Amino acid sequence: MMRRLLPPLLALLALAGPLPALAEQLATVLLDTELRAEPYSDAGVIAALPAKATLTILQRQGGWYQARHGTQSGWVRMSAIRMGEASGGGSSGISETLQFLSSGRSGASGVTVATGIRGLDAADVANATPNHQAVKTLERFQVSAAQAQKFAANSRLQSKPVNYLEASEERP
Amino acid sequence: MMTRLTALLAALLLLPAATCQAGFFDKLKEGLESGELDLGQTIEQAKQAFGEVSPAQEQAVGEEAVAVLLGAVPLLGNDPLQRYVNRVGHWVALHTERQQLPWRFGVLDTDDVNAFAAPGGYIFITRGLMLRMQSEAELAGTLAHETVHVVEKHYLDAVQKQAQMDLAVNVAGTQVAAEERAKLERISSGFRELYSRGLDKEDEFEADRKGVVIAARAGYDPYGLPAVLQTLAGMNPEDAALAFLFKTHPPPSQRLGLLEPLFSRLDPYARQPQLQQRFLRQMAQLKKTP
Repeated sequence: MMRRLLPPLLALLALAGPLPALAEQLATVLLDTELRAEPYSDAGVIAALPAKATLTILQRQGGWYQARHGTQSGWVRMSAIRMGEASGGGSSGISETLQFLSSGRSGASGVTVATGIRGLDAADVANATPNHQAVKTLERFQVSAAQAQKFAANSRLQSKPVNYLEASEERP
Repeated sequence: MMTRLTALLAALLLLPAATCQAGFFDKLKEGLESGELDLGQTIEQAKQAFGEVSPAQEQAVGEEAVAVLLGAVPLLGNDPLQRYVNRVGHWVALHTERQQLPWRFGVLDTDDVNAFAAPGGYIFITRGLMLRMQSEAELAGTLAHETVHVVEKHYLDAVQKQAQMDLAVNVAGTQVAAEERAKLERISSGFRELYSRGLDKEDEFEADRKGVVIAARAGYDPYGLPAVLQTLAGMNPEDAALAFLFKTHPPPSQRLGLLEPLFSRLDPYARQPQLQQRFLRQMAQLKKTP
């Protein structure tokens, strides 16, 4: 419960000062992997990480997370972990994935009742009365292509030619 | 089938002659406003050029879809954040095959974690999802996923298939006959059902697969979308804020599993900017929202 509130809270705290870039979060190793000195697959191995080990995630760089395991810290491939704890529960990612790995089937998603949040659910949409006036409001925030390009140029974002990827043959 | 149609569309848009595409919209609008345009004829021509649904029709359908969404949840009353999301989103959308669309983005005022698209270039993200993000690359990746639903016409196809409805809406603003009103109302009810049920899983997987590439094209670290999926996977599935998302999307862990074999292809772009500080500065705006 507390952990669920933590990431947004830390995100806000991070605004106040030089705090960790990413909120700390626990993750579980899916399959045996390694903790490496740097976020590269040919970087030195700091420790072997067995499946189901719990890590504390510190930050992300590309497809790698910097993580702490016991007293050691290093980098682990994003594909080797899932956020959440394997035991003691409640993480959708882990229970799902472990179930998926053992049965080849995906588990049912958790569906629960909203309590005390300003939520949105299927019934809200199914019973919605169309609000055409609100659609017009969107034009107030709309930006032109030129404005978007200027915005990108201000932040060193550069267009790159990249081809779409075919779906992988191997289905997990 | 859809891919071929989209490819055709993209090819048409890229033709030098079609540089008048933007002009086409302007003329259409002018013509409509002045009442001088023979709309029936225009739509017929557009149909021949673009396939079943003309751009003007797609806009009209999109407006109905958005009216349904915004009838269920209001826009966040925070103009600076709305404009920021429009800048990021429009820049991302310029790296799709439908960059000429009048792209519009909106942040929805709900704690629920979700994002939506509508035909014609409308994209929505909830405040609840933005609060769980760590960087602009994550926002860009999520918006890129949504642009794919628009570019590939996932919602348009689904609503058409579902209701087997005739989308040949006459969009003549001057004279909306009762019959046309009835058609629009059928479209509304189609979207009420579609948004509460969600798209096909395969549409979501395609949007993930293409979304990471679009983010890379826009110069962002392409792992933003996978990172968001990791965050969702790590949340308590009993969290009420996830209920709607989980009802309408495949499980985040399965989506990650399908993306992971493609990760090696993203690595050449992994050092592109995440723009964490800019994102967090913008999110500070949320604190000012009552």
